[in-house]
Amino acid sequence: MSIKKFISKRSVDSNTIGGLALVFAAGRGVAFFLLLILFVLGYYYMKSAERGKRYPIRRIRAFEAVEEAVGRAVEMGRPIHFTFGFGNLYSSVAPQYVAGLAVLSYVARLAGKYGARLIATFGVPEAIPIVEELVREGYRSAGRPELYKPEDNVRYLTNMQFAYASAVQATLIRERPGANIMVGPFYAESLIFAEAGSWTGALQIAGTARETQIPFFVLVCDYVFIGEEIFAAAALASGDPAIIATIRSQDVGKLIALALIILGLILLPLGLNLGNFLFI
Amino acid sequence: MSVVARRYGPQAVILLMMLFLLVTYFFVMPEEVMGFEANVIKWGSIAAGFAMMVGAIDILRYHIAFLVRRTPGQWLYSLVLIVALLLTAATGTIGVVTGVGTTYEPFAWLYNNIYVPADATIYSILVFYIASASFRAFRVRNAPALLLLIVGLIVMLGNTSLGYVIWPGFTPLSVWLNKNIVAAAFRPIIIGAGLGIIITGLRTILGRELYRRE
Repeated sequence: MSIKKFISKRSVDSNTIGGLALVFAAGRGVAFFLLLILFVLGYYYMKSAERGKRYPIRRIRAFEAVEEAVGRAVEMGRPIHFTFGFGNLYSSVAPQYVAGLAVLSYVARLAGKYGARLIATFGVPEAIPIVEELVREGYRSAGRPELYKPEDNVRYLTNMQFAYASAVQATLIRERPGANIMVGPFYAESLIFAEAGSWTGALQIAGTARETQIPFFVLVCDYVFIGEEIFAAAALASGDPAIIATIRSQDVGKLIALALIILGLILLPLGLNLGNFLFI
Repeated sequence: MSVVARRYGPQAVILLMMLFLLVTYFFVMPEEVMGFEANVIKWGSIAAGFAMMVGAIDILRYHIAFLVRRTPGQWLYSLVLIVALLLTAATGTIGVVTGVGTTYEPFAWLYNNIYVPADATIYSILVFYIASASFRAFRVRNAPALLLLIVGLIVMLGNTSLGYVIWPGFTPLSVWLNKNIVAAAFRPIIIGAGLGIIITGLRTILGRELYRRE
């Protein structure tokens, strides 16, 4: 069967060719193999880093600015504010929330190191124990457990979007933080937070992988993690070379995506739609 | 509970659940397995429901402290919040117990006449924030900023009736810009974010996300 016939046949009925169709859910076969390749690569890089191999990672200015922001807040005698955006821990944006938690863990360690007051605000009740643990652990690991005050450092606000936006805005205005760090899945509240933070004169670092909100952060904040950089920041925040090494598999994934785009562009004038093949 | 169980117990549950959900997503499964998958997703909602209770208790604890200490500039707001929280919870519970549900009149009144207008008000504030952010964005300091201003104006006019009155071509031009230029700029970001999500998933499955307490 020619490639053209094969692809056009797949596009008509994805459940008719070979044994694969009996196993894979329609349209998910190629995606499974791509996912498998990335998982295997990620695991390989992680293990090779554990064996001592080091992979160079490009500088992320926003990540480097986090320590500067914490130091600035301490010098000004003001607190550090951290928030995650209106996402949750059980949908497609959960990984962004997890990335935000990892960055919070890093900020908490820095707050402990410099003796800064950290205020973490959020709107996901499931995250309360995690945030409490991360902030407590941050102060404890820096040898300053006495600085941890859960009623002040960890503030669950509400799980309603604009009530949460209003409460974060009020926190920023009342507490006047020296640094405002926002990493996670942000929706319409992003600009409300960024503008309120801007009014208080805080050094602002923000990041989200929700592409519609990135322009707002770029416009208002001092440093921004753009898209996937929040996941790289999460890995860098861990300080663990094995975790940092997994970023390399993201880069390989980007190369695969680029190759597929170029292949698609080459095949299109020949009357072949690569998209049909990818959704086998 | 032993350290091993505390450390590896939750990790084992996460690993099993994530692998199970991945398998049911990618492979054709018998109906019984898919039924179990639906139940697993429901467990998530139930756990989230319990978390809401934890959240409510957390909020009460936080604000009762202000009330007890009579913290200047705060305790009155805390009182309003506590009363509102308890009142909404009480009317909502009565609605459930009596079988009326969320249409129970006092609960619906609170929601429609207090929560909805307040929510809409905060959302409306965005208009002013967008205006002040646009003012910063559209200051022409160099050639790319001028390009941004021109494209921004075209898109804005393309989305308003005034733009159509000035020149009907604004709307199709705005649509073309969004479908081609903006989409081309956004797609690499979306692809990169997708890859980041996959690798975060891998780190979570392997228990390497966040930090490890030794």
